[in-house]
Amino acid sequence: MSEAESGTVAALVAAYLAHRMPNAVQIAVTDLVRIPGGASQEMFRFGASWNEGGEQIDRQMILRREPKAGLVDAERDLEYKVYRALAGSGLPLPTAHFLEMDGKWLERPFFIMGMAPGKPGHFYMPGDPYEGHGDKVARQFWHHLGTLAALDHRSLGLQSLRNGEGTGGYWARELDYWQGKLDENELVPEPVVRGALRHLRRNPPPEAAKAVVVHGDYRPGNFLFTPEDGRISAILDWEMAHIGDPLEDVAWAIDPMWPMTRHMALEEGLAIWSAASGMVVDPQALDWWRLFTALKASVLWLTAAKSFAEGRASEMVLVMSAVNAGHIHRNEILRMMEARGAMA
Amino acid sequence: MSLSPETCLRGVLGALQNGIIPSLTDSFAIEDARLAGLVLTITTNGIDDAAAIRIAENDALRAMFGDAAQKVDDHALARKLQATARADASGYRLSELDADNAMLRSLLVELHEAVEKQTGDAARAIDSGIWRMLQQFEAARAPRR
Repeated sequence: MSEAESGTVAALVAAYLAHRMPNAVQIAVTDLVRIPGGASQEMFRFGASWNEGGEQIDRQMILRREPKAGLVDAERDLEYKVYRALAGSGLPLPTAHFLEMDGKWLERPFFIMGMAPGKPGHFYMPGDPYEGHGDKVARQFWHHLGTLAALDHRSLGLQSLRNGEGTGGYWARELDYWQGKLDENELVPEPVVRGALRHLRRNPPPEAAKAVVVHGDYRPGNFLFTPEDGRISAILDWEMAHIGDPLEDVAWAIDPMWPMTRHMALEEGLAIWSAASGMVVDPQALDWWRLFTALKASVLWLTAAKSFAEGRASEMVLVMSAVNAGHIHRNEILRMMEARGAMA
Repeated sequence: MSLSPETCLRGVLGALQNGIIPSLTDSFAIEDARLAGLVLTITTNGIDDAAAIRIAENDALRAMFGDAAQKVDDHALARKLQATARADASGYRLSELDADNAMLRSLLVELHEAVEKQTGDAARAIDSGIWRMLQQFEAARAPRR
């Protein structure tokens, strides 16, 4: 982003803040930069300052804007809605301030939230992503996921999420959803992914212990931690949130591409999750959701490939997702199918 | 002697990594360029045997279809498998090989689904043979960094 582009967007954001905060004066937006890593939403960081009732206020903020195309075809207000609903739930979350659906301000819908302290521990970087706090981060990681699973989505007002009014069969609902995405985004026939899909349908898991808010992308890289004390300061990237089986998030969290098991043995992590959620993990059900994870991830990478191939998006993260991550998860499907005896 | 596409791309990669990226200041541009370098590396490393991999894959699929045509219960599918197995292979352009491969993969999905529903040892053997073949295809096409 050039200085000129940054200045233009900053001026537009300042105008928007003035619109949303009519009592604020001397509004300034500074140091606006696009942050790398957001494949499902465009992300910008900026400083905002204003004076309200004689008080000078300075904030660091994040703007998340709907991309032209990308990985996730989410409902436009979904993530904002989840942040608002989960505020005060005991989970570390940034404060969501403003949702804007009108494209007149920044071409596409966006929302603005406070910038939480800390940084992401990227799984793909060499070395220890948590700077010596791996065990402490892993404990919180599992505890927070268990806390999420213990919440009642209805009392939070989140019935409007996908499957929110469902009464069971969450595995089938999600399988249908991702089959729909596969049908939409399959550039060339994908026999590995199609084979896994049929296998999952023929071999359903046990019914969910209960229906919960599923984050949908709960993994290293999608939360912030503070390097000075190893505290998880914010759980981010809720654009794939929905209602479903809590084991869906557990399985996603232990996918080999971003393994939290690198920092804590799976059994220990699951024990922490169980203590916080009040549920035990059914290994047979978890096994089903692990294959589902590889299928869902594969479909996401196909979505990235199609967005890029059709010229609707140009970010290199989409190409790497399609080329590299796509291979990783097809390989993971093949490994799990072999373990199930499919190649004997 | 002219430069091969692979040599040219390695030169572009070097310019990107050693000249362009170090001069960037915008964090988003730096990360996008770093990923562009990885994409370029994988693409460059996949040029030399790209056609060979696709030809081998398409040949293996036609051979499998010829064999499976004798064993599937669905007569319409058997005829389609037989016709595809006997059809001439495509030209050697990557676009032609990929188009042929897409057609063959589509028929493979159809065959796989059919044998999953079919009982008997022959169907089971085709089923497991397809999974093993897919594993080999994936290994051959693995991105090389």
